[in-house]
Amino acid sequence: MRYLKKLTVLLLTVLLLLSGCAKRSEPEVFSSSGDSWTVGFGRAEITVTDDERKGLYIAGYNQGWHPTGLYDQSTAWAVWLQAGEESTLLIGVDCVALSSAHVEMIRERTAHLKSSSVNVYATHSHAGADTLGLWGPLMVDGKNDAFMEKLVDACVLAAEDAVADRREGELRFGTAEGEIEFLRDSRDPQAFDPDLHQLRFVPEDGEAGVRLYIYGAHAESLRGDNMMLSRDFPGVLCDLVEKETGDRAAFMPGAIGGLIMTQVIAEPAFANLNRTGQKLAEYALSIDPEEETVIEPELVHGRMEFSVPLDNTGFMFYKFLGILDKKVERAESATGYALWSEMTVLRLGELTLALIPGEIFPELVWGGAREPGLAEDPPLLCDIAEEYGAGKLLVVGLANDELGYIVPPSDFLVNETAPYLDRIEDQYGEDHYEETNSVGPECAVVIAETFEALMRAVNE
Amino acid sequence: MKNKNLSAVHFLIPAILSVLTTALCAIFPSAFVHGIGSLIRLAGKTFGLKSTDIKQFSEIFDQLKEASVLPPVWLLLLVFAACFAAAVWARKGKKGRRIAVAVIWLLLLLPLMLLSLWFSNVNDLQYGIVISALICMVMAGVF
Repeated sequence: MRYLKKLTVLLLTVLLLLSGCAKRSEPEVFSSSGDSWTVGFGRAEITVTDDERKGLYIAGYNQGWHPTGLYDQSTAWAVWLQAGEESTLLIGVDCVALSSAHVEMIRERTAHLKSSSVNVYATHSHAGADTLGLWGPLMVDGKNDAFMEKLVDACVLAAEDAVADRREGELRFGTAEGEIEFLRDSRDPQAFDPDLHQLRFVPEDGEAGVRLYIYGAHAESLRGDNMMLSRDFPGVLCDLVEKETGDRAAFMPGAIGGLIMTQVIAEPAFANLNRTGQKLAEYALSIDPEEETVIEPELVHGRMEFSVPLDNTGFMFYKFLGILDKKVERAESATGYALWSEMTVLRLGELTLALIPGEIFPELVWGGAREPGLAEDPPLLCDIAEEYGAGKLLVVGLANDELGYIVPPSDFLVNETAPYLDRIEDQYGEDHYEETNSVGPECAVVIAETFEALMRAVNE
Repeated sequence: MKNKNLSAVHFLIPAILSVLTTALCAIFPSAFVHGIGSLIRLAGKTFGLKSTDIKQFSEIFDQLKEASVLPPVWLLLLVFAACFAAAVWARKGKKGRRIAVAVIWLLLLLPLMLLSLWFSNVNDLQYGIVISALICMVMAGVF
């Protein structure tokens, strides 16, 4: 009997220890190099009829708002990137965000294309249909099943077209210096990357190339009163670049947490949309080909799953109601649970892209956090990248999941009465809205630790 | 008689009772969670509550109609074992013992079903944990 008791205690201890250790998967890494890059591009519209529009909710600002009209159709696009034997499919969608569940659906449906990996991201448009479920009536799922089905179909079509479009050529990287005054950080301290970054594929056959733009601003030039479905400025930027150059263009959001957005530079809202897109197109077209860096055809891809303590009770209720479909596990946190998510690091020659599953504050990437802070921040992502000999670091947000805002622990403040449900203002008068849409203060630490583990794996 | 020898037939009734009790504890969480929206509408009609509030709440909880509900297997096994043991013990004794066990069974049935609900996983989250959090927030005046 005593022996049985000891055995039970031992088993329980082992189980507890094992459960505490299950925070990250092993990194999955592959790499290859070739004589040139093989790149393909595909695009498909996610068409919405007038009748279908009535069943949608507009995402980004208010709850329970049906769109009253359609300005331009959302699209899905895919870029096939290959160097040597290995490849990755980058699939982007004009929408506010996509959860890991839909990313997995897209991966399953594109498995027949035999890409070594598939990464799915959203432009974070605040004028698209609700694809996450948070913008229906209060605590009611705002996603429309038929629309989500169309979205996944469009991603698959775009990916298939990208595969069919593959050609060999050169990949180049360039940056346009943006005006600091064009962007604003809605919450001090002011920290953001004002530049527009471009990855440009030049095919050997002289046909239309591909351009990927990374810019660190929320796609919300139409602002909060808008009720028309639109791609927002990413659509205008890409259309203008395509018109001017003939190349196919796509947009990727950078480190936009904080909350980084473009200034209002014209009235009314649709004039601002067009002027903002035009300004970014001017940046894009100003990149001098002579000053671009040629990217060596070497591809290294590292992916890791990780769990992050879930402190946000609002997110927990949404998961309970089946609105947020995320993998959870029991853990030490305010809710008793942790969420599972993933991160990918993509090395293209000397360029490193960190695909982050959320809206990370630029302070966590490049610094500039307020000091002294409420708690210690993790090491900066750019410092970690430099430590592992990475060249230029670019951040792509809302990739493969949406954990919400990734807020620096030094500036993490929640309402004491209703944490994560009500906002609070700090001693400087700053509104801590972002915390209400974040997983919790440990997310930033977990992201930095996971990034370091990936950098170690990718650079070994 | 000190020890009443029981044949296999005598274990049949305890087994049936145990399976019945365990089945009720297994089905109740699912039936309750999937039917919360309907219960709210019924309560609204019965007590004449404000229809807009009822509509809003029932719309929220109707989302649980498709929820995945997993009752706690460990509790179901315990319930089965305890019921079976109690029923066999009751059958071995006199009439008074059987009546006592039957009364206890009736009194404990609903609490056991509620306990099963408390420890059930609804969409991967333990029902009891979510409800505790909700109750804390209501007590703190959040809603």
